Amino acid sequence: MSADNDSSVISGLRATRAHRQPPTRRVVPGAVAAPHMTDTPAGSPAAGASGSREPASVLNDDPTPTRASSPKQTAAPRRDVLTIALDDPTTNYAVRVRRTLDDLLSQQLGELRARGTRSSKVEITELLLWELAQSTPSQLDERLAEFRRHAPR
Amino acid sequence: MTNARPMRGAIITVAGQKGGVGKTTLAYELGAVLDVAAIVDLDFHGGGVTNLWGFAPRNAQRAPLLDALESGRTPRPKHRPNRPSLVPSHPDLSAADLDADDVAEALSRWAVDWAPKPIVVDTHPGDHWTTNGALHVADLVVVPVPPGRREIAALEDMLSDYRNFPILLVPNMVPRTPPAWWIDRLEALARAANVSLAPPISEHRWLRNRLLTTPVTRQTRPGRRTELAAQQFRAAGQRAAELCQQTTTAA
Repeated sequence: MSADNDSSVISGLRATRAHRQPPTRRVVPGAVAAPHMTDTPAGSPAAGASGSREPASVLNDDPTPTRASSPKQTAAPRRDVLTIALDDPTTNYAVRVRRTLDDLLSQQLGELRARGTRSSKVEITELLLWELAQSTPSQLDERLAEFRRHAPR
Repeated sequence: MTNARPMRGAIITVAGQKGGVGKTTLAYELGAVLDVAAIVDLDFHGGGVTNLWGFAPRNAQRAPLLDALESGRTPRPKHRPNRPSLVPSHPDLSAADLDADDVAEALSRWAVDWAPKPIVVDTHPGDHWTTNGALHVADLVVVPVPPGRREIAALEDMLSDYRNFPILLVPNMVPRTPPAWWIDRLEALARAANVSLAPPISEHRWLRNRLLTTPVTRQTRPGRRTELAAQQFRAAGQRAAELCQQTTTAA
């Protein structure tokens, strides 16, 4: 049996561990709130050509700026859309939420089902977390303060 | 000096003391990669290669494996495009009036008849006469080892029971970050038992629920994840082929 091959397998496995990356910080493109982020006059050719009515378009992976580069836009951190693979491992959240929110979620799932869309509490939770990945810390701070006003703990 | 032993193809037995470690999938892919004469399915409990291949033994008029073992004839493997040939298993194999020697003798004979192509044998988990027969004549015993406490314990027992067998350990279902304790244990066990290690195969969870019955290594127009899995199975197959060549040359 070849010892060289075996040690390379083991060192390969160790290297996989050593090179593991911590979860990357998700960065939302600076132009998420595209309509109010621009300094370009609405009638200018640049604003018209970039499709300023489609904020979603600035969330895609295309690195090219969607409009003429204003100082605000270049300064803002860029966040890419978080893509979740089908075979990503799952994890269990042991989370206790207040009954009102649970009832609300159940009610909304029921309404969705009535519209022909089947979903689940897990999927909705994942959706919220996925949306969260696109928030900047300041946006998150604002949202948290708003939430705490209505749901203190 | 003449060699009294007739030329025969290599016998590669995929075995493990523990169920659910990936024996069947590995046997199926090895069969495809090594272009075997046939995969002989000795796993009689319905979850083996026969099922993966798309053959329902209960609906068939004949039981080629049982007939061959009982009559002493060489079975005719079943063929389908894009799939390795197969000698399908049968549920009645567990109750057959046979023993490990019958299986060992039959496999040796078939390996001569089907030479020079190798045979891959898929086995029932744990200690069973069918598995023992296939292990005794194996030129290479391939053992998949996923990262798990019980899997490692089962491997430890197996390595102690089958000392001096030509064993190839295949780290299987390896997550993105394999546990450090598992790597250490695997290395220690492989070194202590003087057995070989194959390149690891990642955790492809979609494989369990895959509807296609062609091996991933033979899938036409594979996607990215299929191609990745296929590359890993090919690497394991290549290692198995190298070791088979070494053992048969030494013999």
